[in-house]
Amino acid sequence: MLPGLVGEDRAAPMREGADEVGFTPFYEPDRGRYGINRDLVVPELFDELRALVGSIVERELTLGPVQWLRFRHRDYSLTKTAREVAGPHVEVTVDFSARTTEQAEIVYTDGVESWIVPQLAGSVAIVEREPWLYRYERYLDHRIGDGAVYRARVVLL
Amino acid sequence: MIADRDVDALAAQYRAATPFPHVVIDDVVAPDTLAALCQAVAQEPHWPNRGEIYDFMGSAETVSHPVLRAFHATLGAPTTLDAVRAITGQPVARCDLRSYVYVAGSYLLPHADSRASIGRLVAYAYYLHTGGCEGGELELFDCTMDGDQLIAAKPAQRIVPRDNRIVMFDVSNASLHQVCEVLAGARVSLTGWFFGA
Repeated sequence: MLPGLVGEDRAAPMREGADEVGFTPFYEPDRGRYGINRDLVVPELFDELRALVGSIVERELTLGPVQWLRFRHRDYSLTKTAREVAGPHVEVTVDFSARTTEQAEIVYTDGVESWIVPQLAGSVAIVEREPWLYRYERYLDHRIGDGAVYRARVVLL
Repeated sequence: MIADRDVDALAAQYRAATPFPHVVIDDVVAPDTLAALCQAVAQEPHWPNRGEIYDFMGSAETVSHPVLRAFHATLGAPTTLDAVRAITGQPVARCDLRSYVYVAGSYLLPHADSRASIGRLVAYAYYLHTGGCEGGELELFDCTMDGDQLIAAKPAQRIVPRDNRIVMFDVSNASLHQVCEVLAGARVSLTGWFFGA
């Protein structure tokens, strides 16, 4: 996890851009509830991530599916949520929220052990996603108020 | 408790209820029994329980306070089981019981309790204390199924927690339900399942 990689000077326009394009409500009770956008394209961000993550995992990567996500009060995602890619890949989560909360943690689990990625505004989390590794994002309770957690989830192959 | 009710009328309510069979029974025990149960839960140890779909305080799998154990025994007594069988049409033979405390921020996300291997037939939640509780409703979903697979679900019914109220409902892959987040106050319940033989 790389904290402080996306400054507010960059995150704020990202939020504005994402809000402007809009999020489609997703609600399948046994899978999740959140806002999602698959259409927003920010080539310079994707290129930077590909280069950065490629240097960390020491291999060439290509861009896969991208999801822009917004979580608000009562939102969550569960392990039953469909995978974007079936096989192994690198999953990068860019948190461009306005503030850090103690909610919406990303939990990766193999069914026995869990690895938790805290919600940290401006952070980038990089995870080698194997088929046995499931993911969920914790429910956001009333303490979030009118706030929101913004994430770009980028698959690199 | 339940045995002295009009089980035929309750059975008709249970069968007719949507989105899946359930029944709500109020004033389950006498006021002094309710007070004793509330006091017992206050003395029962509870621990934080946090997982993919839940965040609440729960007792151990077997409650230790004598008053709670006595309530569990009454719920599992032959006369009560006869009544539950008559109401639900399910061949229940025993039940378990745990105590749960939901405070502000607690929740249980949508799920079905169905696990064929352990024989859960009927789920129940008996609300002991809901004073000042905002939220915490039991929400039932109307599910579209393809065989055993859930295809779609939409909220269909909300049951408000109320002191001395018990809710019983069928356990199946289609009985998707959740406990809405408690926004203020506390919701204290004794909850479990009736099992087959």
